[in-house]
Amino acid sequence: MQQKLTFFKGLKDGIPICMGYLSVSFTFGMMASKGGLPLWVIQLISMTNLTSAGQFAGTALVLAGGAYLEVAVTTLVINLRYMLMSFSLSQKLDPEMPWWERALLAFGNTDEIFAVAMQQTGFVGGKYLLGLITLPYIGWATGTLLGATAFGALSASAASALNIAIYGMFVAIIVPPMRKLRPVLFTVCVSAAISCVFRFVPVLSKLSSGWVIILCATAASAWAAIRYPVEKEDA
Amino acid sequence: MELDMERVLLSVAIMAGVTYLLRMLPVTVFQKKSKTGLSVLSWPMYRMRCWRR
Repeated sequence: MQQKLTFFKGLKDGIPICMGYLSVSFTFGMMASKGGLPLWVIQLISMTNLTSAGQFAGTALVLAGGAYLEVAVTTLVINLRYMLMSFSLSQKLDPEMPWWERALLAFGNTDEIFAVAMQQTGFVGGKYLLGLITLPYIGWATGTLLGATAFGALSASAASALNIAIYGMFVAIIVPPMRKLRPVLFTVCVSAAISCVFRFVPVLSKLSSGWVIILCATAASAWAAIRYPVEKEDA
Repeated sequence: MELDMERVLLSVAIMAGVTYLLRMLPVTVFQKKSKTGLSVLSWPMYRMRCWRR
């Protein structure tokens, strides 16, 4: 039976994402604090960016005195995948949702929130999406605050070990649909294989991770679209 | 080393602006059902991110 996508269902679905974000943003808080940024700036970065890799790389550039253009291009390349995710999400959102609500909720379109939203049956409404974004956003901000204030109390190795939590969260999100749907399983395998090519082939390994994600995603998606065409469209 | 706060804040604004535009533009511009295969990009892309972290 299809479960109603309410705000509270979104909140509940966001709990595991929130837990994962706490640990990752904790590391970010420590890294930025170590670089000498004031606490309020570190918090500002987390609360306005809500992105892991892009935020880490951008902050490192800021601390290194990088040029504005360099910061913009680096952020663009690393976060370009969000554009593709938003293309997909635009087709999943309730068609009646006004543009301003779409524009507001797009802020919270992270990898994990996107993945959970796309797993829902039927269109996704604004209330569910708002619920889904709320706890991860709070978790991201809280983790940053804790990491920045706890800087010095934890060793670097202990802080980096916290990153393992994000993999646990990914496994929890990815494995259930992989077990249920063979096309998803095979698409994941193809994606992983292509990613390995980019990782281990000497010339290809020089490409930035942002481009690799996009190229792998496009190639695996094209393969999946040809191999498993959708007979009848459902949102 | 003394941080130039104006430069830091402007850089943070650039990071936030670029990230938000990437997320917001497709969602607001493409409100109608797409006839192209763009939406099939979703799952594999998410999975690739797991491998690249």
